[in-house]
Amino acid sequence: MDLEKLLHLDAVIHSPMRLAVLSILITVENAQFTFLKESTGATDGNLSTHLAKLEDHGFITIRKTFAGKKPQTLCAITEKGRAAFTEYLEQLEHIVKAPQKQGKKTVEEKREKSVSTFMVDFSSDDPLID
Amino acid sequence: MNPDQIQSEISIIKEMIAKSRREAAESGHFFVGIGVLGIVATPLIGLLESLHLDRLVLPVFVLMALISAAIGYWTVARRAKTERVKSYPKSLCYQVLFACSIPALMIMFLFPILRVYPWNLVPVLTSLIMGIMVYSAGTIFEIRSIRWCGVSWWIGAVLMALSPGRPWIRISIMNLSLFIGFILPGLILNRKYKARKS
Repeated sequence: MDLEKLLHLDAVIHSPMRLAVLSILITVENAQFTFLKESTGATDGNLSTHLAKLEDHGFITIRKTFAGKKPQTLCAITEKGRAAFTEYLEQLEHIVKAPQKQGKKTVEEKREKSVSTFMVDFSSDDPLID
Repeated sequence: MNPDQIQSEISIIKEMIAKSRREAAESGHFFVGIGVLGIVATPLIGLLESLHLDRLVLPVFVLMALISAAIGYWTVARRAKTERVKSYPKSLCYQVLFACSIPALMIMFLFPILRVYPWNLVPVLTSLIMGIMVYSAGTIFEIRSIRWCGVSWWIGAVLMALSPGRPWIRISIMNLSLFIGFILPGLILNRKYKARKS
């Protein structure tokens, strides 16, 4: 199951920089390029490349506007990006929970085994038991 | 993907969400500005009425509305243009503020001028709208104490309705409402804003 889930992890999101960008954009209506740059600690060129990749996949929209005379680049997440990010989080959750579930299962199996062993012992034809 | 990688991805998500929340915090300047303006203007209107200078009341009201609009522009509209992050709660709050300010203006000017009701009903009806404004802001920013500040406006409206013909009592109630219902929420928001920024 884990391998199957891992194979389904979105390759576009599965990069620290793009994951960081989407984590910001998922919580806001839009964010300026300068804020994304400052938050992620990326260089202009590096961030632009990652943003372009996210835009190419339809995960974000990039809009260039002016605040007075100052140019602004605004980035916003799309519905597709939101869905992909949510799915990515769900898969991360599965991966995190999987070993826990497995651990629980092992403990339960052990307990069941010990109880059944006890029952067998108890019901056995022990001469000491009437 | 090993547990370390997962942990690292989760930390990235947490850190980025925290950063965007910090950036999108509301300063509360609008509430403090309007509250201070109201506290100054309300006794002035009361004074004009007690001096039988009723003809000056409307111009003072108009001046107040213009200053409020200027405060709104400087603290909300202008800042929204230059903000690096536009958050959903803030946008929603600004829309609520706008949606409440239009009926508030109608209640304060249009309907009394059209003689739909007497001028002395203006503070009572305005308080109801202010209550909706502040209560909604408290709900949007998920701060329960601000919701209670909104409730104080409605209590003030009832008290003002129960004290007709006693202008100074009504003015005192109005000023108390302005303090609890505007300045206090502004200070609460500002405290949270500073805490997030630091």
